[in-house]
Order: sequence, then C-alpha cells, then structure tokens
Amino acid sequence: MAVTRRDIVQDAAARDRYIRGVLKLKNEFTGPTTASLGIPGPSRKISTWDLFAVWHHVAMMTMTPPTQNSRNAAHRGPVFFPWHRFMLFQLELNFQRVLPDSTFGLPYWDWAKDGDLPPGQQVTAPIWGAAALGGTGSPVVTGPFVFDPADSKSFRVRIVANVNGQLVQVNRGLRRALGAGVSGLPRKNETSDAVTRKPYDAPPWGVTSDSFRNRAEGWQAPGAPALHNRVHVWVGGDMSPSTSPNDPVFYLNHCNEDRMWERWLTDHGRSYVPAASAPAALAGHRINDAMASLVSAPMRPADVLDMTSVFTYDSLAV
Amino acid sequence: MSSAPDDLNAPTPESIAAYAKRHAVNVRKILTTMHDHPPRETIREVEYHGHHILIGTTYRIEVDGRRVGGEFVVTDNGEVQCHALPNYTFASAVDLVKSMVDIFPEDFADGGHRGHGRSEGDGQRARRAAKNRRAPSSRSTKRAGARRAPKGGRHGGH
Repeated sequence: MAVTRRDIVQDAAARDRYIRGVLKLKNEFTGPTTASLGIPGPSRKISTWDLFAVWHHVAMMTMTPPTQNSRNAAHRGPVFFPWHRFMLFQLELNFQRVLPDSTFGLPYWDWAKDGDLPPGQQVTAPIWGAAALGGTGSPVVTGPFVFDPADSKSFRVRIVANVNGQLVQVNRGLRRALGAGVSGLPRKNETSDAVTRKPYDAPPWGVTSDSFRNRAEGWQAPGAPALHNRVHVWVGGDMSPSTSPNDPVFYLNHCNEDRMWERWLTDHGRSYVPAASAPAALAGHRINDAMASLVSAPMRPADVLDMTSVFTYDSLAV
Repeated sequence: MSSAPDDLNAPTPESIAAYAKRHAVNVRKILTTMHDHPPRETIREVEYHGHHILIGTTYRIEVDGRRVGGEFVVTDNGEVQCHALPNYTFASAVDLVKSMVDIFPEDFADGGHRGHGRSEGDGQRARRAAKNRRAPSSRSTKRAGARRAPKGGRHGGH
C-alpha cells in the first residue's frame, strides 16, 4: 500500500518520526569507511545518513558529458527530478527500516507558504522551532540537531565539501544562516506558475532551458536563484555546498520539489524527455539511462515516472 | 515501477554495505580525477547576423595570494557559477568569491595560510620572488621555498 507524504508543519507525528529517523540513520554504521571511499584523513566509519550526502556529492561531480562543466548526473539537466525522486525513495525505505515503520512517508516542507510571510517572520516560522528542525546559527543551538561534543550520539557534521569541491572530514555542529544569502523564500505565485510550464525540459537541456524542470530547479530568470535553488541559498550554511544532504532540511526541500513534479505529471501526463534515442551528449539524462546509487541498485527515469503505488502526497496544491 | 532487485525495495545494512563497497572504486576515481585536470574552459557559442561567435572563458581566482581551485562556469547570459556553491548564481565573479569566503571560513583562515587544498597563486609566487630578490640570503631561501609545499597542502593543482 502506498505511504502518504505529509506537510511537516501540519503533522506533528510525521515531523517527530522524521526527526527520530534522522538520528537513527545518523548513528547507523554499516561498514563503509572514509578510506574505502577515498576521502582524505584518518579512516572513519561513515553513517548511512552521511553516505547519502556522499552519494549526492559524487553525482554532482559527475559531469554529463565530461567535456563540459555545468550539467551533472543529478542537476542542471532533465534528470534533476528523477534522480532526486530516486534518492528520496531510497531514504524513505531506510527510514521505514530503522524506525521500524512500513507506513512512514517522508514529510515535505511547503516553503512557498512561508515565502508569503514577511521576510522577518520567515526565519521564525514553525519549521525552525525547537520542536521541529531547530533554528539558525553556526552551529545551530536549538532543536534536535544540536551538536554536543560530549555526546557521541548527538547530531554532527562529519563530511563536507570544501571551497574546491573536495570532500574533507570535520567534526562540528550543523550550520545554517537563515535568510542571509537571499532576502526571502520563494512565493506561492512562483510555484503555482512553475507547474503550468511546458515542456518538461528542452534544449539546451541546461541552466538556460525554457522548461518546467529548469524553472522549478531555479536557474531560469527572473529571480534566480529561484524555487529549489533559492531554498538552498536562503537556508545557507551546510545547505550551500554539494554535501547539502547533511542538513535534514535538504530532504524536506526536495520532497516539496518532488510534490511539484507529481503535480506536473498529474496535470500534463506522465511523460519525460529526452527520449532514449537522444544523442550521446545527453547520456545520463535520457529516459532509459541508469541513475547510479551509492547505496542500492540503479534506477532509470522511466522507473520513477509513476510511483503512485509507492507513495502519494496529502495535497498537490502548490 | 518496473521489476527490480529485492534490496532496491527493501534495503538492509548488509545491502547498503555491499553497494557502497561495489561502488567504492568508481567513487574514489571520481573524487580524485575531478582534480586531475586544468580548469575547463566555458565555451559560449551563438550565431549573429550570419556570424559564428565563440567565447571561451576560464577564471584565475586568488584569495590572499593563494589560488582557489574548483570549476567556474559562465552561463549564456553571463552569470557566474561554481561547483563549490552549486545552487548559487552571480552577476559578478567578485560577489561569488565573497560568498565563498563567507560560506567556507575555514578554507580562508589565517589570511590564506591554512586553506584546504588551495595552491600558491601567481600573485603569491610573484611576491615571494620579489622578496627573494631583495633578501641577502636569497639563495638558501629560494632552495627551501622550492622544496616546501605551501602551508595547508596542495590538493588541487587546478
């Protein structure tokens, strides 16, 4: 039976299960080490939570094709939505395993609802409360993800990308700089407009495409960084580099993006471009190309176009 | 959804470990080779009044005399982006580097003498060469300098 993904601000039970699952996955070590994955520094075990951050970083550093330096295996191209749906799906399964709760569905954060608040109120919206995701700071000092050096089970950041885009080991608290990088969150009129855009994606299949994917990813002017990108920039701190899945709010952002895609698929049909016959320069983004995973078997965009038997959303009103 | 391996739909600690192990070689290759090449040139090409225009751009960015590595991209509308800040876009490379300083404080600590992986830049080399020319014991200083890696190590070379 399909699980239901709910608004984290509206459903305290979903919120609490999410927080509990984050802390469990953060403290689960299945065997991989920094040495085995070639991350410099002393060899340390990597948690399941951190493996997802490494997976995201690796995808981001995989240029598609390798002759250019913009479009990568998960972003700046058509595979943006399928790749992140695949990642969310794998994370959701792991939450279900460790909680254990087969009915668990990842919650989403309807950030555009907060974006309609005055900027001063956005940083104190309920999602940043001590009972929810905690607040801002370097490190964050409220909420369930506060770093306590004396408590080995407390939330901590262990692997980050540095200014050169290289992975390095750290042992510190989570960082956020809410509202510092950009003045406000995306607004409802932007999300409702984005889901009306057609086609799904278009040449040049990148950050200048006039398409639903590019608008929702947040490259398309006006207002760039917009939508998904703007949320990353607005949260700031550990949401800034390619290891942004370190911050639990990463998945809430992407679950909301996935909700937008589900709305688009519902309204416009479960279609995807580019086709399997598209040129090799689009390898990694075509409908039958494999999306690699660090924690599971691969999937293809074709596999994730209809996942209504796996999960649904409590609302597709964006 | 199409049919798939069972562990795709029901991961276990063992399956996660096995997949991480299976992909380790490729991950190590990606993490190391991404820094084994010089900065890629961004190529912009447009047709205009029957003419083919090509603009190639690379950046040399130094902070406190040390080169900042990584990849920098110019979009068709002239905005500047980089891999280190994958969700950001800037009208100016100066603003981009200011954001880097804000977001990666450890990499710019001690006035550029402790950064992760930043190599000595042309500006710093030029200043060191000028200083050596002025110093009476320049010969020994130069030899030591030639052998010594910059503080903070050299990781990128790109």
